[in-house]
Amino acid sequence: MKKTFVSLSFLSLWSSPLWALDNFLGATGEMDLFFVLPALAVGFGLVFYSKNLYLRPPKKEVGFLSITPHKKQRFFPVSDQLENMEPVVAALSEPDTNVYSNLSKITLTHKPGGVYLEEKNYKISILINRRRSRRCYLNDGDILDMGELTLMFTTPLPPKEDEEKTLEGSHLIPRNKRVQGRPIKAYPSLIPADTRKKTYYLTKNLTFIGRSDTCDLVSKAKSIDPRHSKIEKVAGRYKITDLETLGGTYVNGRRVEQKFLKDGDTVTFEAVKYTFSLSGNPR
Amino acid sequence: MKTSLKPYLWAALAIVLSSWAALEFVLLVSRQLGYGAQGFLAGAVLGLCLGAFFTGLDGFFGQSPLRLERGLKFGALIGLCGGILGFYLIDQIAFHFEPFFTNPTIEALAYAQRWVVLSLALGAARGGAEQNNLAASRALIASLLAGISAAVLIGLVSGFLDRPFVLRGFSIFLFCFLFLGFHLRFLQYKREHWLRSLNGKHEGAEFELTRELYFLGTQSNDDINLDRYEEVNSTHAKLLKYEYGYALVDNDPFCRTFVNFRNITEQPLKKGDVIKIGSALFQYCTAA
Repeated sequence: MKKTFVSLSFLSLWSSPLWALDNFLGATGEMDLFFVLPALAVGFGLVFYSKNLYLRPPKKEVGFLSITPHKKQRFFPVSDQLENMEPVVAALSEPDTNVYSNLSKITLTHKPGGVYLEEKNYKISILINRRRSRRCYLNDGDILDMGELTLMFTTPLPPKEDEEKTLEGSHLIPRNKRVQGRPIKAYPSLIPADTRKKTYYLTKNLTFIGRSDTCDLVSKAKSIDPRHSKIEKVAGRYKITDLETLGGTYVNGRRVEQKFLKDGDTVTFEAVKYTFSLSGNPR
Repeated sequence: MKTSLKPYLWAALAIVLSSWAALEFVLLVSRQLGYGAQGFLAGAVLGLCLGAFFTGLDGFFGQSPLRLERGLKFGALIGLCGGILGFYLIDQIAFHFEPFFTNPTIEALAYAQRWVVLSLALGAARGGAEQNNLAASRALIASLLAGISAAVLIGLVSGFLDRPFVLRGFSIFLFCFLFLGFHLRFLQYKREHWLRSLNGKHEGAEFELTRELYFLGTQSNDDINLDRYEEVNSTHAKLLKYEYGYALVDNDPFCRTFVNFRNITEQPLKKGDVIKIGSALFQYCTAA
């Protein structure tokens, strides 16, 4: 009983002058709609302003952002005078970060297409997009790994198109495509008109077509000779040659002795019909 | 959460203004009803507004309608309960047990607790909306600290502010900023796995990973919403929890997902891995 009284008196000592009684609901309705409506409007305006502020991506500059895990993100702008990676790493790494490379030999060249990075060390000590490479243009969002330091390159310029993409659609055979991480060639294909049969990919330089089992593309139709025609790769294009058969080989409805095939040509051996496709996409 | 505090400060200001205005409006309307009803309504409105705003904030910022809806529901309901409990019930208790409340200290404490109760309710709503124990405990700790400090500061300040209108505004202001500040402070407490966005709309945002399954894609109910990025499908990939961390799984047979710029179908992630989905870049980080 005594104890509680002591503690209460202590509290009351501590309370009165400083700790005033909360008159939170004292004079209510003091301000009328004159305050309420503008405050509501401003409040809801601010909500959307803050959302825009949150969603607006920051302005892009040319530079490197250090994204090493467990380290603070820091940005280093790249100026035209910058020639190698030394100042970048000096600014972005911490004293205990190990960078196992001769940084003065990793040069940056400012070309009209963007920043060009060259690795001139004897042994490649840097990963660009997690791959070893000696020289490349730096695109927006490229990741550089140098020892324990991870950097991301940012630039407002649009990414440079790969050579792969520009070649597509031309008469040349498309180069490597990747499936499951492994590069595969997109081979040109012969798509049969009969939907029950499989697409044949021209993976070899010389392909024989005929009824014989020794041929590469075997078709058991009666009108086809044992060795009917061949398709060979000549200077990057595909040539079909008729092997002096009775039935003959037809391309786009015309009987041919030999002909270079284009994308979308129909190849016919009397009753059997194929479509030649360069893109390598099966139907 | 984004690394910059600016949007959060503006949002806090917006919350203060709108909830203050709502409170004033309700008090204006219910002027004739008497003190008890006013306490009830004030608590209800404050709890409702603050709860809905604070819990819906993350979903609203992250543009995730699912989280926004869940947050609004949770926040409004639990905030309402907290507000009524803190503002109305204690008034009723003080009214019915008058002799006990004659001591000014006890009375002051009784009035100060309303902020703690309200804050705890809001914290419970915030943690509950996340539906995970870690987030809930984090929110409760932060809200307890925020509530106590807000109660003490408001109690100290109310001696100097003699106009109740100004006091109301100031206490809401103080409470909101303290609440948000403590929550942001405790946001990263004991987190284990998170995804850091490196470009585009979410640049700088860090998505904490606690649940068993996360979907990434353009669909509106994907957990990490990637619309406005190029070449992303709806529900493009998913993150699966396993014993030691998370694994990224390609969810769409027609679209590709990259880890460290290599096409994958399923790949356990390790610290520092760079995930690429369409044009979106993410970095997977783990604690220690």
